[in-house]
Amino acid sequence: MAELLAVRGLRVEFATDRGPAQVLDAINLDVGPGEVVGLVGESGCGKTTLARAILGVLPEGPARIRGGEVRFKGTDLLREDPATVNDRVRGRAITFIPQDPFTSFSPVFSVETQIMDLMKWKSPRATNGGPSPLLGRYPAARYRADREAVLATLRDVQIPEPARALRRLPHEFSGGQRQRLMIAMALLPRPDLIIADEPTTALDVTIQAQILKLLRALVKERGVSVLFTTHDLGTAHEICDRVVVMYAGQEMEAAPTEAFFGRPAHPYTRSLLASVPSAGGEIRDIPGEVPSLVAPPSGCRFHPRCEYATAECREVRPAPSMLAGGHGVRCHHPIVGADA
Amino acid sequence: MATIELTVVAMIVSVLVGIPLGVLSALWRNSLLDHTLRVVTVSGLAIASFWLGIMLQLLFAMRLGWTPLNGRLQGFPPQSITGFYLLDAALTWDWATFGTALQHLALPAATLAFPALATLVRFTRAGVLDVMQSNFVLYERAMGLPRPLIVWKYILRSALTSTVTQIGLLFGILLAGAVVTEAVFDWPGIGTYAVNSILRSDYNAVMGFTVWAGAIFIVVNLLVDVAQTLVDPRERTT
Amino acid sequence: MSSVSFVLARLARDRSALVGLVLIALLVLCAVLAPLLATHPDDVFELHPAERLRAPSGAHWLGTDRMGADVYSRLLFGARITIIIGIIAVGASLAIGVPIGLVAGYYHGWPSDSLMRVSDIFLAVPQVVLAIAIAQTLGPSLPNVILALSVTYWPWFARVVYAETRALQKEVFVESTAALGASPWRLTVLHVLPNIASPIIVRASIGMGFTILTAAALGFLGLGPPPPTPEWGRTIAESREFLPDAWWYAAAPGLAIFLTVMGFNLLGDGLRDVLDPRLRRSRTAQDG
Repeated sequence: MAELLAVRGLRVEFATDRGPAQVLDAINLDVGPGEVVGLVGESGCGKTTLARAILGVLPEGPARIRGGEVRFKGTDLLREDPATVNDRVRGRAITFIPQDPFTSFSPVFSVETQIMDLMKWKSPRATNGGPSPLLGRYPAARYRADREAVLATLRDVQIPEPARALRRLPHEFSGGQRQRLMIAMALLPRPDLIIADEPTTALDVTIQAQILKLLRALVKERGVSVLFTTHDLGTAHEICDRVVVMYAGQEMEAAPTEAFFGRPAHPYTRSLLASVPSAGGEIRDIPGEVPSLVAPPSGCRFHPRCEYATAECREVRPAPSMLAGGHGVRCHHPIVGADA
Repeated sequence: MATIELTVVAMIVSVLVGIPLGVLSALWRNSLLDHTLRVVTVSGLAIASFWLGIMLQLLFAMRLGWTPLNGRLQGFPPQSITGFYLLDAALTWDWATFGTALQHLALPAATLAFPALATLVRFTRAGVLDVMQSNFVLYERAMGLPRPLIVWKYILRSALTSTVTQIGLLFGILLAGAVVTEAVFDWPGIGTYAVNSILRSDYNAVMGFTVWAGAIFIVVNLLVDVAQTLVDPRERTT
Repeated sequence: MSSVSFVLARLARDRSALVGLVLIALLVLCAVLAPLLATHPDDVFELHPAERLRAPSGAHWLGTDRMGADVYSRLLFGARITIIIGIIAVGASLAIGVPIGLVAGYYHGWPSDSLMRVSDIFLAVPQVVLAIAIAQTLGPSLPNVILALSVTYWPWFARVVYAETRALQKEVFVESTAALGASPWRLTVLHVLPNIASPIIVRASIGMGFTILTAAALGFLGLGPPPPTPEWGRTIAESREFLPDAWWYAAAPGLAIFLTVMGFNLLGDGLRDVLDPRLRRSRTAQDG
């Protein structure tokens, strides 16, 4: 199956006070058409950086892409003309759901203004990248059609009274409602891929499940792929078709959900799953600490904390290898054939 | 009234020039433009207004002859509708007078506007730099909205909410500067009147002027509060 | 609370603040060493009408004025006037404004409110105007200028101190110290003052700049120390009728004012960045 998104060997470096930090170390990642992929990992493992690198919105000063490619529908986004990427890919073929719905809207404009501004340039009916910025007019017929589409999508995300809602300001909505608006805005341009960066972390636990189910239902209906980052394994289990786990800037394992949770092959994955508090069980920590990315461990970055580590793990980073059933793992000593 | 016309023109100039310059300064941080502007704005607050006025007179009026030396107008004033020479001349299609009035306004307005402009550039720059870090700007970038739209509509609007409060302050600066500027350019405004009455020991006039100035200041601050509500809709609903 | 050496070290890293410091040092040097540095020290009082309005030359580095006096030398002596006015006026404003702000901030109720109303009224009228009115009423002289400036600048200090004191009152440590039975005096001197020192210092430095500008404006309008005192503002006023030919006559004192005020502004900004990190706008880039 031709991958929709194929990241190969992506290396990203951040300038910090203590020197350059190797935030992403030759990452490989695949997302297929119509697939919901969860990217899990602890805070600081680089998942948000990866998401932003794919979108092309890393912080301009400190971040530097040191190598690799991001192939989307066959084209390497990193080497493509930036203006084209901004017009055709961002907000059209690939859209974004941010982590914090509270601050991701401009507080001074109505929801209608902000959504229609998006539609002015990113609507599926817009030809040739939309009108010229600032001075270009919004063709009246398209405006009407777009607005209808907006109202319909708002109904799909279960915003009550969409027409009235549009006229309101963002701060008049609750967090959950704002995230629904975000989902709507991510769907309206009819994208191929949505990148969602911890979309429910900022919300109440009670609403998280609701939003996730809604998102999954909508994308499955429309055949949209989702790459969605989270540090919560439960969330990944809820809605993902495949799960990829990252540690300290390296991806460790990528498998279909059932295999990931049922037959984890990587020692890190196994420890991670074991450390989730279970009803009546004890809490089992992973001994050791997350390494600094300024002077990261060599080879496989998990080796200092891994009970199976050998000299090979210290020297050479494991190449990706494929187990049965599309189950990928990067480890010199994968644990095969054992259940979680 | 002459003073108000001068102050308003200076205000308009400093806003129309200062705010865009502040935005560009923030966008092209540490560029040549940015550094130049920073030097200029720091100087703007260190230059004595009256000295600046005199130097401008020296250069433009005396050496180059581009503008008249002082006064508000030469010849007959336009038909009085609003009392503002520029407006009246424009409204009565008296473009010759309009031109003369503009020439006479040029130097005093520039002198008066300079410190205000410096302040505006600084504050706008700081505001824009601040807003550029916001999450909604990240979202708009991630969704590929055109950069000019993000900057001139969304970033500027948010940055301006803090700038609007400065406008009240600005008016105070302008008013204070007007007194001295009028003295330099023989501008027939209330500032000259005030200074002359002081020099003539006309205390009632001085008292009158002080009260007038205070009242204006209070009115302007009220207007700023209103403007604040208009610019930042969050203030409205609370 | 940063110790003095820490502050100085931080300040030393700020280039523009250092430039400010250098400019101020230059000013002080000129003022103090005026008799030594001046080429024609007696020109403050003597007249040489035969040499009036000469262009800058080897003998007269900045030319001569309408009385034939050496502009450069008079400028140096003018620096003395400037410093005196600045220090005393700002010092007096501080001495008036800080206690008022403390009292208004510490106590609540109508005495505080009325104190702040009074200061607000002073702030509403442009300082220049008020100073002009006062100076004219009292007559043009050096002490009167200083008086006029002090009387119009104290509200800035009072405002700052009032705001800080009120903010501090809400801090837990003040409440607990008071609960332990410390007297208001003790509280103020030992606890409040050290914390408000920073904003006061910043205000004082920026205030020097404003005060010097206003003083020059007063001098320009004829309300400053009378001739032959070489006050910078008055010198500019004198020079007007001889423009455009004797341009050095007007340019030099203006430049002197500019450099002086610039020095204080730069230092003030630098001090603010070091002492009051809350006022610094955030410089952190958004990270992923």
